[in-house]
Amino acid sequence: MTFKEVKISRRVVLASTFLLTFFWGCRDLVVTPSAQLYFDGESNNVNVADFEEAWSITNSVYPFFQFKHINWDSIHSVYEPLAEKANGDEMFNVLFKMFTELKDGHLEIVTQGGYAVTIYLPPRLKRDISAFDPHVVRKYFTKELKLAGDGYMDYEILPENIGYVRISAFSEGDWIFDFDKILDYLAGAKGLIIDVRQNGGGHGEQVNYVVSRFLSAPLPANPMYLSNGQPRSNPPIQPRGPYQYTKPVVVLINGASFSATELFATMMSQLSNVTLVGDTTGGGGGNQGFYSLPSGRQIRISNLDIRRYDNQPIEWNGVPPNILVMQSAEDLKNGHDLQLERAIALLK
Amino acid sequence: MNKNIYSVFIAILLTMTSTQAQAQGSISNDYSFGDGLAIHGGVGFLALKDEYISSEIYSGTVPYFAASWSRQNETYGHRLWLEYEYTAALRNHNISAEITQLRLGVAFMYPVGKTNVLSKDVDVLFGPASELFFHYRSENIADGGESVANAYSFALLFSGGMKLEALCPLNESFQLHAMAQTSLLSFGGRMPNVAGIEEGEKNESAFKLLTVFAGFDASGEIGCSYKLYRSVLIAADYRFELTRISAWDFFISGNDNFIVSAAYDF
Repeated sequence: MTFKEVKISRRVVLASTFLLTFFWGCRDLVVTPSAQLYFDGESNNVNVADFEEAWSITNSVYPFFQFKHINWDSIHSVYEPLAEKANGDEMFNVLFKMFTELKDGHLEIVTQGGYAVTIYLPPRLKRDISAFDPHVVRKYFTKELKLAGDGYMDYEILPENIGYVRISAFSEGDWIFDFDKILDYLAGAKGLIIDVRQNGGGHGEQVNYVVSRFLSAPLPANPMYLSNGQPRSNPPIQPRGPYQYTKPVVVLINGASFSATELFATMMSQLSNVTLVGDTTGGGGGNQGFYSLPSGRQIRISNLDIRRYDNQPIEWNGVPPNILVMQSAEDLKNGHDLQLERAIALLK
Repeated sequence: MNKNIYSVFIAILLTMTSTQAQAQGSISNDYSFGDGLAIHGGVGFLALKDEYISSEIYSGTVPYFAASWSRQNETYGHRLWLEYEYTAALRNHNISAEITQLRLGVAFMYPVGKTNVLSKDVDVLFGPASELFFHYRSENIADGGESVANAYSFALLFSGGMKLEALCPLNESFQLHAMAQTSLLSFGGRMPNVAGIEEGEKNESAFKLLTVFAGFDASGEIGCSYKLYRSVLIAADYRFELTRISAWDFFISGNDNFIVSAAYDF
């Protein structure tokens, strides 16, 4: 490549000046005010503040100390020195280990941007993580399952003329309104299977929305207690919709049915036409509260003791099935969903 | 006087910046644009702050790998490059993060002038450049109890900007080169902050169009190349890169690398 020699171009000068000015101008933009604290060597102080705040919040709101026989004061004396020694993000580890002591599946440490890290997997949840396979479920159908509710639900009628709907979460949103349309579609079947296995929970309002279609009379709310042992009163759940579904219903549950899903299971278990089939739910009986720490980190911890209708905590205990059908990943590998098969046999 | 000022400017640019490895014959009074394929390897130091995870700075040494392709025609030349960096040992005290960074870029370089630095001819090229930057972070933010806690984050910046190069052949085999590149307008992507969503805050988009003040990507290089044979050339460079995104949780990744390259002209 050749070109004639010229005096240095004005464009080069302008471009060079722009670049130099720009790099210099960006110098102050590189460090944000929120980070300045760390450059000033205050990282450890922030970590200690985080620790004290996390411990205090938990001390105030956590409802299961007595039930779990945990001395929270002693936890403070064990972990405070570790928090004082922690540098930078080592504090994540200190919080993680401290909260692991609570063995609570609702506990999460959240990064500044909101990425939630689960601290503890309850044993039944861990066991049943692979005890469900939607592909195996589909083998029992002759038609492709329909999707609804932004993909949170799928449904169809089994060859035995039994309706099937899977609810994969009770997350917040209008998607739950599709449940009424699904019920209309499945209403002609002789029975209904509601599959909430692997449903990790969500919001109680979503649970109530579904349950209310199965009620012939108002259903009293299950007991709940605050951290100070005071009961929290909730209004009964009212029947809703143009008709109530009163045909036989099987609710499929397992150890990966967690949190609000266990609320759903315990409510449905109160209805005479409903049978719970599968395995005991995961045992997450708290309501997750969100709390910010001084550094910008966040913790999410249980702040309510939600109980079954027999007044036993759902925490750790879970909700047992009426008919126990244990299932493993091996069963699924062999192409059998034993829990679904039992549900079909019950409704056939 | 003016010539001296220009020389200072070019000298500064030479110390800030660089080019791709060269792989072209005809080094005489004219510069070598570097036609052909080049592979680059090196090691660098990377510092990172991603406030989606935390305000802490993570840093460490990172291997550097890249490949580039350059070609010229009568009026301009173009360059295409792909960089890859990976490490599982970017540290903040005793916490480590796993980082993958990719850069895919293209530039069209037009000769804009020739000047003299320390009695040597320096050719200056300038033109539009575009770069796709992708950053992925996976981190065990804690371990203990019965599980290992992983957090993830990513940053994406597809930017359009400009690139400036200075090429200074010292003799038939040896050439100094420098480059500076900056973005002007970008399309960025990040994981939106959802920490406050449950408290009623509105979720923000994961992708946005960004001005240079909200999404900034710049790099510079300075080095030298030596022609071993007619079509084979080796080069040594210092290269720095800076990517800053502030439209979401603040993100900045800066690294400098020492690179050796081999190029083949065909």
